[in-house]
Amino acid sequence: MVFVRVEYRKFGPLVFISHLDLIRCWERIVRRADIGVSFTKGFHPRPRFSFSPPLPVGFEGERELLDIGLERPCLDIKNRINRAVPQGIYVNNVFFIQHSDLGESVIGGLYNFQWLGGTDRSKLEEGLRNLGLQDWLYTSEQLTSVGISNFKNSLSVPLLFEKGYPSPKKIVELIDGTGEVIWLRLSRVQLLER
Amino acid sequence: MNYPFDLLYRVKKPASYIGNEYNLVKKNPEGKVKVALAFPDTYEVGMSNLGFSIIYHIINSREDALAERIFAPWIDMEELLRKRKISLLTLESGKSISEFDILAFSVSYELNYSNILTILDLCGLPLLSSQRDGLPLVIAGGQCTSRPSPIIPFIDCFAVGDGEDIINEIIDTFKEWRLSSKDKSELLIALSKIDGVYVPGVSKTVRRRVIKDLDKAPYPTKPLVPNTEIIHDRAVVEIMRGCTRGCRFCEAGFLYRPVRERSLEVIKKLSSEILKATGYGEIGFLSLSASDYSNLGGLARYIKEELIPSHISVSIPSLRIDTVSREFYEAIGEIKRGLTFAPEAGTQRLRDVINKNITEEDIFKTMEIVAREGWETVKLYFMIGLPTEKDEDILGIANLLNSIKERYRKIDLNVSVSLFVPKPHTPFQWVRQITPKEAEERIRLLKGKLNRKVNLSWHDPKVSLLEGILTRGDIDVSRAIITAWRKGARFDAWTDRFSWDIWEESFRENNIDVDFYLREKSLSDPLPWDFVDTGISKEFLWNEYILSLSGFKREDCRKVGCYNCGVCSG
Repeated sequence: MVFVRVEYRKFGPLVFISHLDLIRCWERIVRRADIGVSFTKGFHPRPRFSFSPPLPVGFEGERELLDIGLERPCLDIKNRINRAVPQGIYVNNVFFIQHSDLGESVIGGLYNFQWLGGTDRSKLEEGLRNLGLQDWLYTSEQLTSVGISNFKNSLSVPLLFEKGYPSPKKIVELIDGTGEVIWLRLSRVQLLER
Repeated sequence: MNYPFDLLYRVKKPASYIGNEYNLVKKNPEGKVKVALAFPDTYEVGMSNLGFSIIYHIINSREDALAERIFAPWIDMEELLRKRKISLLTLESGKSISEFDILAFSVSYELNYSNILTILDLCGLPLLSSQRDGLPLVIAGGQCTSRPSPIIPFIDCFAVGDGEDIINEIIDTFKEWRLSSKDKSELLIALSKIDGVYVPGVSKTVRRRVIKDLDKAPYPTKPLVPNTEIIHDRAVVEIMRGCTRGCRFCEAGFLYRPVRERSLEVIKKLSSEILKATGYGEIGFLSLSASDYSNLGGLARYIKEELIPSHISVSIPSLRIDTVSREFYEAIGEIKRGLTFAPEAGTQRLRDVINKNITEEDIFKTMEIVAREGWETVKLYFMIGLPTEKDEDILGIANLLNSIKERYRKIDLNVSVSLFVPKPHTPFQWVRQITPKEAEERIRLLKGKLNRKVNLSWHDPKVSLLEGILTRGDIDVSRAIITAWRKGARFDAWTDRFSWDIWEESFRENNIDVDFYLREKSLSDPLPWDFVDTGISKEFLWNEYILSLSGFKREDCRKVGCYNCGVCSG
């Protein structure tokens, strides 16, 4: 068996599906794409998948990872998959790998929140700190020093999976502040590897 | 996405409102007859309904028409929409219903009636037909239209029976009318001439529409693939419509006669097209009684030789164990880990009354197979409140289950008991429905005698009470539906939402005597659904009722010959 590592975007309407929905969605994508997937044994056979850690519902993922086990190498995988995806999933890149080690190597992600209306960044930062997440919450200065700018209505934070993350509902609540946010975009910009 | 983006961050199940399914086709509305198909329950329930999917497919297959979907929004979404003054929008184009020609409800369950009003209201339409002039035309199809009296004031036009042909004729009629007239009453008169259509105030009676040949019937081969899990989340092929077992309590058994089978060739063709177009890893073969499918052996071979090797798993609801061939077992046996079956009553006498042709011997034979296959759980369904039921019949359920449990200690027995609702157009349409109080007494009796290791659950008898009233009700009941909806009745089929108090108050405020609808009727009493001719004669139903009282059994008419129920002669 060989593995193909798929780097894809999850965006648009599909930000609202859960990780379990996403798994089902990918099962159907690879069956439609007909790329020679390797299935588990038994009477409920399922494609061999290994996903990067779940995105919270409501989050866009700009560079999510998925390892797929294949019976044999298959040509043109990227295009085959992109012809079989629903709107909201798009494959950026694929490459063959020997071992699937996503579970161990990915330890966190860089998250970005952008919004219009509602409160400003400092209030959100403060709210997140109050949730007990100050350990990994970098200051704006620290982020600027590594090239990440945080504007009034935008906040980028790296989060480690072992610490957990605030629910999107909580984030929206914090962003709402005293008014109501009119537009927002929550995304995981990239995965952080060990 | 059609609703303001932030709205979906504020509801519990945002994925129900995103649409954008694989296989979705967005059509240019220019010049087309625009139909909004509405299902008065959640997305997850509505998207699992085959009738809804078939009608959606038929309309969108036409070049001169388009169909878009709406579902009942959950409570949290409804509140937000009201707060922000946003109307309900279709999933496809995000348009409000005012831009459509026809709003078509699929109504398959009475406990969805309150949600019909939610949808009408959130679409900005008056609840009563009499207060709506102009478009959209509001129509309804589905099982409930065979006894539509309680919702007559809300709907302009009903389609009764198989919808495949009717929907096309409605659209044709609409197109013709649009060219020549703007007067809605002329449209309604024209619609009333369609076979199977009932227009309140215009039609006097209606005859249920039946399609003859399932092989020639249109079928969705590129169904939408939902992005979020729905109730029946798999490919579906209907292998047979109708059932001639003649169980006297079963509404579907009478409403979908005669039996029509889809040929194995067509089943194979549909299955492979659907699986290819959707990528589903599971397929369900749908019917009221799969065991009665003539070419069950051929279907088993297809499953074994083509589906299983392609890593497709199979589900076959309504498969009886008693008639299954050995070959079938080998093919699908290992797919299932549990088994569901429905003896319905606890004594042979009562099973004979309801014409459920299962003997105690059959039940134990089934259990023998279950034990041999090593399955771990069995789910059994029973009803209480069946006609002529006595305490000894209730004790019969306990005795039967206790002796099964004693013999098969390792198998988990899950038993579900529901209160019998005597349904229109069945031989029991004249029978009294027992009260929740009687039901509770009988459940208590059962519980007292039942082995504690048997897991017993039962439906809330008050839900069945409401179902009985809404099923057997007349046009007066509609007033109570409006009142209950105003008081907050929503999703009454969902146990966590159901409130009998709201409904009781609403019936009382509208001077509706609930008992009137539940009591026993005589042959000469007019019934609120008399104007719907299902093709089965009333004499036949009455004779069946009289025969049932003495426990006279009827074999399957496909095996022993015609009883002249009326369906096939017409």
